Order: sequence, then C-alpha cells, then structure tokens
Amino acid sequence: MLTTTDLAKYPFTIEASEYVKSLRIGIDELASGSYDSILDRAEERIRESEKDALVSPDWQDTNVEILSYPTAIMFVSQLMNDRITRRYALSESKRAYEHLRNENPEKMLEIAKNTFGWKTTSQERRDGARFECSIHFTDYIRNAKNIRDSRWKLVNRLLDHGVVSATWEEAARLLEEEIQHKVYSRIRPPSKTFPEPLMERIKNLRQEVDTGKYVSFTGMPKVVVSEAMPPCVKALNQMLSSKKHLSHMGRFTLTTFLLNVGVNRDDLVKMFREATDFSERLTRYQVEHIGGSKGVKTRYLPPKCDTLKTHGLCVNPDNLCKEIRHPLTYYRRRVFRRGGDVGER
Amino acid sequence: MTSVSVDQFLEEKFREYYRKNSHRIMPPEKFEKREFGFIYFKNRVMVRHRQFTSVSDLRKFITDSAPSDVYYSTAYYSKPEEEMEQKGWLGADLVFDIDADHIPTPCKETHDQWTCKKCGRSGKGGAPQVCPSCNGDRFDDRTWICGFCIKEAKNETLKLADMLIEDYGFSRKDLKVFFTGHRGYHVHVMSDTIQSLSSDERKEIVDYVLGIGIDLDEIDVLQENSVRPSLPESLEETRGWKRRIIHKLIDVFGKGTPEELVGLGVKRSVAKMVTQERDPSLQYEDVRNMIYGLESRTMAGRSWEKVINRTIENCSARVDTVVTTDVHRLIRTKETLNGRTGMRTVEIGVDNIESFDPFNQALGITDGETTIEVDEAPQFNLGGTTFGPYRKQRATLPAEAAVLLICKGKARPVIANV
Repeated sequence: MLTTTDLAKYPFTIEASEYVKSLRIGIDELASGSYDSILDRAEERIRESEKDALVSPDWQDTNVEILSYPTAIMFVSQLMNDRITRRYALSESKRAYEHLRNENPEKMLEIAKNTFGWKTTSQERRDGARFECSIHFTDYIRNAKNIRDSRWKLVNRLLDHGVVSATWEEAARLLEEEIQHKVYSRIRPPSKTFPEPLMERIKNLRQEVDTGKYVSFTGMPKVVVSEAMPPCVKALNQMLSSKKHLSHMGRFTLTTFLLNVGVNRDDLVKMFREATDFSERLTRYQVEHIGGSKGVKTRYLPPKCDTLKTHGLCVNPDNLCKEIRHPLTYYRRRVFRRGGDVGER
Repeated sequence: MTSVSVDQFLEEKFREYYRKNSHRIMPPEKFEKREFGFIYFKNRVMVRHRQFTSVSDLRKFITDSAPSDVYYSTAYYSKPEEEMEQKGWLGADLVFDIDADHIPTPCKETHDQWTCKKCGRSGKGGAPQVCPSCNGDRFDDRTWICGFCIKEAKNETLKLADMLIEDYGFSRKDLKVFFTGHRGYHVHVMSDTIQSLSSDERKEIVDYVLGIGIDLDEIDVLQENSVRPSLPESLEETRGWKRRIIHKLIDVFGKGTPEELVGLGVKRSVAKMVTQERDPSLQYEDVRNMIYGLESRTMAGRSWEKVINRTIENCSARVDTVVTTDVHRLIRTKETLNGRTGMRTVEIGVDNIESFDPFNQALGITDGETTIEVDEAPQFNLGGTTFGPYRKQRATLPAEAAVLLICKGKARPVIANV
C-alpha cells in the first residue's frame, strides 16, 4: 500500500491520480486564490526543470506536493512547446529516480506492477549473485533501449527464460525511463482555456521560458557543412558517388540525413540520378516521399546510430561517435564546435 | 515460345493446383485484421491492401486469380484495406526470416548466377554490388535451391529456435516454423507479450539473436588482460550469451575436430595439440582445466579474444535484420505455392526442423508429366528421384521437376501445336 508520503514522492502513479480525483477540486476552485500554494509549487516544478533539469525531490506540504504535479502538467500543456515538455518529463523522472533508488523493494515492485504493468518479481539471492529482481524482457527493452551504456544492451544481460536479472538500483533506473515516457505522453495540447488567474500565471511562465532565460536552443546551421558529416554518412556518400550499390536502408539513411541538414530536393534527386541508373521519376518520388510532401505527411529522420549498427551501416566510428547516438547530433555538434560562423536556421 | 506464354503456362499450372488443393490453405490467426497481398505472373507487381473476412473468400480469390505468391501482414490493423497511414496498427507478430541468400555458402559459386539488367553481362555466384562492365546495380538473379544451402539455413533456424525458447522463454507452442518453399525458413512468434513491440524494440531482439554489440568485459567472458576465458565453476551457473559462448567453447575444445577448432580461430598447431592428447570422455571441469592449462605463449596476444569473437559468430543465428524490425511486413501464407519454385510453404513444427525434408515434403504441383526444353540445369533430387544434369535438351519430367525448372528460368514448356 502506498501512503500519502509515497504519493508525494510518486505523483505519477495510478494511486496518486485516484487520490487527486477523490479530492474533487475543480479548475475554478483552483483559480480562486485559496490554492495558491499548489499553483506556486506547480510553477516551481517547471522552473526547476528549466533551470536544473531536475524537479527537487524535497517538499514542505504533502498535499501541495501531490496536487502540484497534475497542475504542472496542465501548465506545461498550455505552454505548447515540445522542448519544454521533453525537459519537464525528464526532470520529473529524475526526481522520481532520486526517491526510487532508496526505496523499499516491495514498494518499487508495487509501482512497477500497478502503474506500468511490469511483469516482475523479486529474485531469491544466491550467494555472491548481485541480482535482486527479474524483469520480463519486453519491459526491459522498452526502457533500456534508450540508455546508452553497453551494460544496458540486452545482448550483454543475463537473459534466461524470458526474464532479465537486474539490481534494484537498475530497476529504479529503468522505471525512470518509464516515468519520463508517461509524463511526456500525458502532456497534450489543451482543449480549453483556463480561468484568468491561471492564464496569467501561464503567460508569465511562457515569457520566462521563451526569452531563453534558462536554456538556449540550438538548431541546424543555415548552410550545409559537408566536413561535419558523420563517418557513416560520408561513407554512404562516397559509395553513391563512386557508383557502388546502396541498400534500401543505405539510401534511406543518406536521403533523410541530407534532407534534414538542408540539402534541397532537386539537388538530391540530381545526385542520385547521376550516380545510379534510377529513373528520375522514381528517384524524385522517393525523395519527396521521404521529405514529406508526397503521400505521407511524416518527415522522416535518419535512423539512430544503434539501428545503423544493426543493419551494418555504422563504419569507421570516431571519438565523437562515442558521445552521440544519432547522426544528426554528430553533425550539429561538429558544426557548433567548429565555431559560430554558420549561424542558425 | 515467348515469355508471356511461360507466364501463362505457370499461371494455368498454379490455378489447376489451387482448384484441387485450395482447401489446404489455412489463413493465419485473426486473418480478418490483416492485410493480404498477391504477386501475379503477368507483371510481377504486388497487389496489396486486401482484406478477407472468411476463409472461403480467400480460397476462392486465390483459385480464381492464381497468383504466383500469396502474402499476409504480420501486423494486425483496425482497417486493413486502407492505405498505410490510415490502417490503424494494432500490433504485429514477431517474425524471423532465415534465407540462404544471406548465408555465404561455397556452392553458390556453382549454382547461382546473375545477369546485369543494363548491359547483359552475367557471372557465377551471388550478384556483385555493381556490374564490373557497366556499373549497373540491378540484376536478374538466377538462384538454385540446393541441399547444402538448405542445410545451412536449417542450422541457423535451429539456433534461433533454441534462443527463443531458452533465453526468451517462449513455449514451443508459441513458435510456428515454416519452410518458405524456396531457400529458407520463417519463424513466427505468436504471443500476446510481443505484439506491441515497436520496431526499435524488435531491433534489440535482432541484435541479441545476431550477437551484435556484445561487450566482452560486460558479459565477463574473458579474464583480465584477455589472457584466457573466464570459465565458471559449473556450467549451470551461466545464462544469456555467456552461457552460449562457454557451452560452445567447452564443446569444441572437449570434443571438436581440429577443423572445428580452426574454425573458431585457433591456430592449426594448437588445434592439433589439443585434439591429440585428448581423452574423448572429458567432463566440464577437465576441459576447463585443459583450457586453463594451455600455456600463454600458445594462445598469445589477442588469441582468446579472436576465438571468442569467432565463437559468437558461430553461435549467432543469421536472420534478415530488415524483416524482423519491419512492423508492417508481408509474409508468405502457409500452404500456398512459391512462385520461384512451385513448391509449397509448409508449416513444419519446431520439433521437426531437423527432420523435415523440403525436397520430399514441400512438393506442390505434382500432377502428370510435362515436356520441357532445358537450357542448363544441375543435377537435383526431388520427390525421391534424381534428375539431370541437363544441357540444351528436351526432357519429359514429372510436373514438380518441370515446374521447378521453369520457375527458375532454366527451361520452357514445350506445348503441342494447336
């Protein structure tokens, strides 16, 4: 059973949201002035996220702490800024991790099962074994796939009859990923506007975050910097220009990468047409399909490093490759390390 | 005869087969939520986004239209007939494709050939990346289905099934294994637990099956400074990839031939030494002591690292990475004919992978005899009879052999003057 203290630690749980519902506080009441401490803490959660990428794990008043979480979610929804949303989800998950890593295992299991539907059990500890719980591989990969260190890769884990062995601390880290995803997916474009006092607060918050008081946003440079391209893309480019055969995945990677760094479609079609025996019509169709104007509205991103490895397209990785997990990040880093002379797009 | 009439001939043969055998076609579970796709002899274009709500409709459709190949989506949709973006993806089976096309076998040099679509140049073996004459990159592949290639694919399938059962914990009932009717096998995992896995998550499974991204330090399989492998007190203690690697090492060092040791990257002199002095009934501990007893100069430098990396390659199951990670994939339907051979796609059961003989148990069209004009074909075995080799000759063969050669582009039917 989770206590109210637990609900304050873990306000994203099913139990916490049921508790909040049971209090029956309407939006007008919230704006009436008698709940300002909740509104203040909700704002503070967002400010802390912007400033430190961590919502502070400590609190004064348990009920305020619990109620300020769904309120902060409402505020972030109103801000309608994906960067802020992502950062907020991350910050809340880190806050939860601070609590979870010291949590009683039974409680951790309860949260994992009830809120996230994990199929997990505690493990009998054998002498000398460092593992403490068993996690079903589907729950494991859903969360571990986003963590970079090779120790988290399924291939390096003790996978046995469908379960992965992990320590409690590792389980807490996996839950952090789960929480981040949950918080992120709860934030949806708002369906209605709020009473004036709340909108006033949101307006002030938006001004603070939009003026870049806390974080600056770096986009893509205005011009294409070919020397900043990662080794995998350079290799694909090289293959294309020396008329070697590119696999479907290889063509997709090259096309999406170049479109995303700002190469224009006509130039790309020309590149492909000159280097291969593809017909212009087909090439143009493919390029435009990927670029997001034909058929589908999606604009595709190139695959991440991990996927390129699986399909054998990751070649000659260099030192910067060790720090990044997406070819576009490589490009962005290299460009901005090179100096600020290229401007932003 | 023109090529159109070859297509007409095959289409007629396939239709004849389906008229008599369409009752054998059993669509997959929840087929009404899946998309079906068909390829036809006429233009070899995929007709897809078809939905069927009854088995008899599907059978009738196949019999009437006589496609060369019949596929269904591994995915479930709320509206299978809509275009991709509107289909409403509900989940997908986890599928693996093992095909001799992706396994390097020495015999391909003798039985496969390619022709450049641009300049017409041709050669033996698998197609090159680009044509050496004109740099074209599109080829007509003429592959052949041979016993050795299939045996290799079978081995990979056995390794995969073992991983899915031992490591992933699927029950034998969850696994459906099919012979594709050509040069490979499909393994479908039918379990609620995996249906919602995203492409990213399936990729982790592919990496596991292929042994991609293994960190030797992380799985603790080499001792410090790589001087020797790190072997546990007992075999029971290990799990995951470490278990696979150690089992293989112990197996080959304890019982393997010198060739098998060399195959794992052991120097020939060391392989000879290991096998010469060996008692054939060694227990785990004995083999462990033997490995630990190998002097550091016989396995110097990075020798062990090399051996372990080769062992990983040897234990991995060579699946097609694209098929498993594609959550919208179309895959062959059981008991339909494969347009590349005229043989059937057959469900063989996880316990019969080893014993199933495609050349006898996957025959499709078998009625009567057909006279054909053969260009060139190697010797082959089908339905217990040995045929060929043939070279520029006319032959009257049982339907299964004649259709195989025609499907493979090695022969044309000879039709009496009308």
